[in-house]
Amino acid sequence: MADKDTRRRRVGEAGVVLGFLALAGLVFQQTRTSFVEQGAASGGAMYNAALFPELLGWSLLLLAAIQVFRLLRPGGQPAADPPQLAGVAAPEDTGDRRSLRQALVCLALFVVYLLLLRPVGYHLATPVFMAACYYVLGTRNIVVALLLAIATSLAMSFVFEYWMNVILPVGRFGIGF
Amino acid sequence: MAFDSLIAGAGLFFTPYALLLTAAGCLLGLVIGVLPGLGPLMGIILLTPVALYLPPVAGMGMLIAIFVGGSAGGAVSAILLRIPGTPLAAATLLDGYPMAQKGRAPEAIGIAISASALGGLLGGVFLIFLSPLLADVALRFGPPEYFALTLLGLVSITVISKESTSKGLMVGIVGMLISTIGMDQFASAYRFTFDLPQMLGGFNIVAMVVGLFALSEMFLQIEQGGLDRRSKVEVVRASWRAIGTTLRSWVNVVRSSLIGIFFGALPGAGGVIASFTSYAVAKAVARDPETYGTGNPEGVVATESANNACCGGTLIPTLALAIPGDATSAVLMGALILVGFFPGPELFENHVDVVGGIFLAYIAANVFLFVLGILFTPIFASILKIRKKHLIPIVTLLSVIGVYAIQGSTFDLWVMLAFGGLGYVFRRFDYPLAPLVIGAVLGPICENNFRRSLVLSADDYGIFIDRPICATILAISALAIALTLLPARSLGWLKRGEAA
Repeated sequence: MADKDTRRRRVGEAGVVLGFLALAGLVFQQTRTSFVEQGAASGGAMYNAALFPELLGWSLLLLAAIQVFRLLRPGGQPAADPPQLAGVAAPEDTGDRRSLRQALVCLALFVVYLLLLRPVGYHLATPVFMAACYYVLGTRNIVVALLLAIATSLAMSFVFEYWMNVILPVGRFGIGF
Repeated sequence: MAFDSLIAGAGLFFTPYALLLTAAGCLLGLVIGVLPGLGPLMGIILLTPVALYLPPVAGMGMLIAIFVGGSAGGAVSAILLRIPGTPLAAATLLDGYPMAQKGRAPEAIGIAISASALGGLLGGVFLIFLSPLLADVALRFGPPEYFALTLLGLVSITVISKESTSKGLMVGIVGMLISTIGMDQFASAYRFTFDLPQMLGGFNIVAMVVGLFALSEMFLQIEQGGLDRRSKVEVVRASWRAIGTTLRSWVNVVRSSLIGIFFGALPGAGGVIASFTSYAVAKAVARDPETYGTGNPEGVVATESANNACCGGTLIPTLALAIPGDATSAVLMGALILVGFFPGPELFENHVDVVGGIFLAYIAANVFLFVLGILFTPIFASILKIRKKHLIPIVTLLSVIGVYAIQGSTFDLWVMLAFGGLGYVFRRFDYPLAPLVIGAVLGPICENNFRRSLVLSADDYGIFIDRPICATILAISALAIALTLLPARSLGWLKRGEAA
């Protein structure tokens, strides 16, 4: 089990390092195409917009290489410390499938909410999103979830729309304060 | 100079609005600090969008008060539940919780609040007198020295942080790369914009920070489980008499505060190191060291005065040099830039009233901390009963509306979500998040001074070595990286040298 976890973590670590390498690659791809087309990839420091990003790109490549070396060297396994939650506490049961499912459902709800926020508007989309979140996270009484959702949505809209004069998305129905 | 700024800032700060917002910020900070898993950084991140709509000094006053209140609030949950509300209070539970177990929770909380306020005030004195001096020195710095300083700021944070240095540096570089997105400051060129009009101005720093810290934290909190758990906590009232105990320990307060200020001003060190160090020092010099860990009030005095004094210390390089010491001060610095004031020596030259207003807000926040902290302890204890399942949707909604409010842009919300995912991955694989924020904040200053240096020297890189101050700062950075990156055996010669 521990071996499986270590292997999974090693694969994850390798994936993150690949992400860094891809980012460095993207930097060089851009400085050699888009920057060149704009005539901003050569010359002195004044005119060379690629100078600093390329320096960062090379540094990133070097550091990523060090990470790759650490991952590949025999016995050089990645630190298996649990992630720090703002340095406060390590998760006790991150492997718990129910919690993970809840987190993923909330994430999906969040994505749907962002997609609907502008077309539907804050005052319709937010209570529904909040009620769904409360329900998924464990408030099983739908009436309570709805009341909590409406109260928090209105309180937030009072602070931002009424007090700070922020125009929140009104949507196609034009609902706003 | 120090008094001039205070007099100039009085007009901006002593308004009912600014005072009220500072008090409100302190109260909010205490509440956020009390709740385990949140903390001053989260409070500042969530309320930064609100601060941008306020007059600059009032807005900054509110954020600084959240910083002060949040740094102290963690002690309440540490004492009552043995769960530090913030990492800053981790050392406080060593004696605070045993005191509570002996039925002395009101006294422990009273001591924690009063020691925090006193430590914070001492930090304020150093902030007021040291930062103008530091800014004055920095006025003589040219672009090469500034470039070297920004690098040192980033390097020290990654070197001192508990995670791997190479990981910290990689994250910091990503932050700097993100800061290059948009229109180049020198040449008329668009960088990494991918023909998207929303990317022309780069990513919104608030959207990035909220995503990185708040969204990823909420996801992890759900994943962690225990959403329905309700803390069994006794509602107590802090004791006013505890102030006498704190005052009688004035030597401990002063010593621990000085430790806090030192570690606060040192980029990357921060309050956690400060509070554990001051605890260790207090125990080492005590006549009864064996009582530490069993409920000795001196332990609470030491840790709490240190971690709040640290706030003042952290603000010294942030305001005077534009070098933030940690993620919290980086976000504060970002907020100050967003309201139109760039930290550094020019701020002290051109906007002395704003500097004075910030100093006064910091001092007032510590006074409010003392009064509100003692008065509202029963409420903070009740807040500990809030279940995560109720808190998480509220924090998420506040993140969304706060980020949207800044520019009325849904693109920023997607940026926030993307950085939330990035923050989650980084946390999962022990990549520190703070260097990304610091890299993003320092990136433009670093690049600007790097290229200006080269323009001054006609593209001769020797300028960074020829100037002694710049060369020294760069050498310190290089040495710090080498000492942490190179394998121990490669540094054998150094150790042998030390032994000789």
